[in-house]
Amino acid sequence: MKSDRENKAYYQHTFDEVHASKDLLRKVKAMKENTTTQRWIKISRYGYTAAAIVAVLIFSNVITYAASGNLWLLTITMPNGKTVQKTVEAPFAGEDMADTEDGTPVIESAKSAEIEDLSEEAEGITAVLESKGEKTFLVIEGNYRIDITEDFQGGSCKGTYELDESSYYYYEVTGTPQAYDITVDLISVVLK
Amino acid sequence: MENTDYEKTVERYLDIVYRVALSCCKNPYDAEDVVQTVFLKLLEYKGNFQEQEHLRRWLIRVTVNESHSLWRTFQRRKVIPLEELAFEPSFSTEEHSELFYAVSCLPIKYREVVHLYYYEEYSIKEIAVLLHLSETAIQTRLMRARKKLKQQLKEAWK
Repeated sequence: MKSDRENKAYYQHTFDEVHASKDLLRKVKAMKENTTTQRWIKISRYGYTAAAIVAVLIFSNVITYAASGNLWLLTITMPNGKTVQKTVEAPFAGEDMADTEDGTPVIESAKSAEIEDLSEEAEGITAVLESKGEKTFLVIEGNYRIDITEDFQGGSCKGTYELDESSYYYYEVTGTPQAYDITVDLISVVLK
Repeated sequence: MENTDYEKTVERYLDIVYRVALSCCKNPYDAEDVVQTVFLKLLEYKGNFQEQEHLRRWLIRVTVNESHSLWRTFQRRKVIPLEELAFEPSFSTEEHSELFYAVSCLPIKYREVVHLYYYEEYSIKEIAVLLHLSETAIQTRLMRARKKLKQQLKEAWK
């Protein structure tokens, strides 16, 4: 598609002008000389997570909201069917607030901090690691499998996934395939 | 990784990692933090990279993940210094400056997809694998991002 090629060229010419500073180059190169410290950090991390147990809280879609002044009342359905109501500050106008094509408002990550508080009220849902052969998978709610084999080799990994079209999550796994910690946070929600 | 290999890798990929980080974080201070974390993880990484493309994808994925990690930090979302919000590199043309600004106004989940598609030239399928998302999700994000860029940039964005 011609227009897409033109857009690529426009985008590439723009970002070709963006460079890391010489100071950053020097700092990053110098990190190699500090490997003794890094090894120590890594060993401590293994020790810290050795007795870890899986305990993850995640929540399902926000299904309704009602705006009242600067506050939004969110009604959230938990995986066990229980509903929880939460009042959050309305997103700021501009970049924190985005409209989808059908006009549905989206709370972007910049304002989802308040929504993260919901984890205290959510029922526990499992997220586990599964090993198959040499592969390691993060399995959320028994259905969503993420291949983290490569990322997890260093004893920790983090990433994002979309549980459904309305919620976007961040995960962090530390430890080993046998003894690990998993945390999951909601970082973005589409209100329906 | 040997010293010489590491230095060559840094020289070859520093700008790539920095651009991805800047696209996600929007300000150079966070982007530089992310870059350092990414290369620290490379030093800690025990696996082998069969080829340069494998290394490149690994670096990009870790950069995106680290950027998300920083972005979700509570303080980052509560307090952002004005000078960081106002950051913009100096560009040779007004058009480039406008595109950078328009991209920085997109939500993070659109920015990362746009950058990987338009700059790194990954296909939708490849981005889906990199970000652990469905191809449909990537297509939707690209479509919405294009629409927003078109709204903001008018004729400059085809």
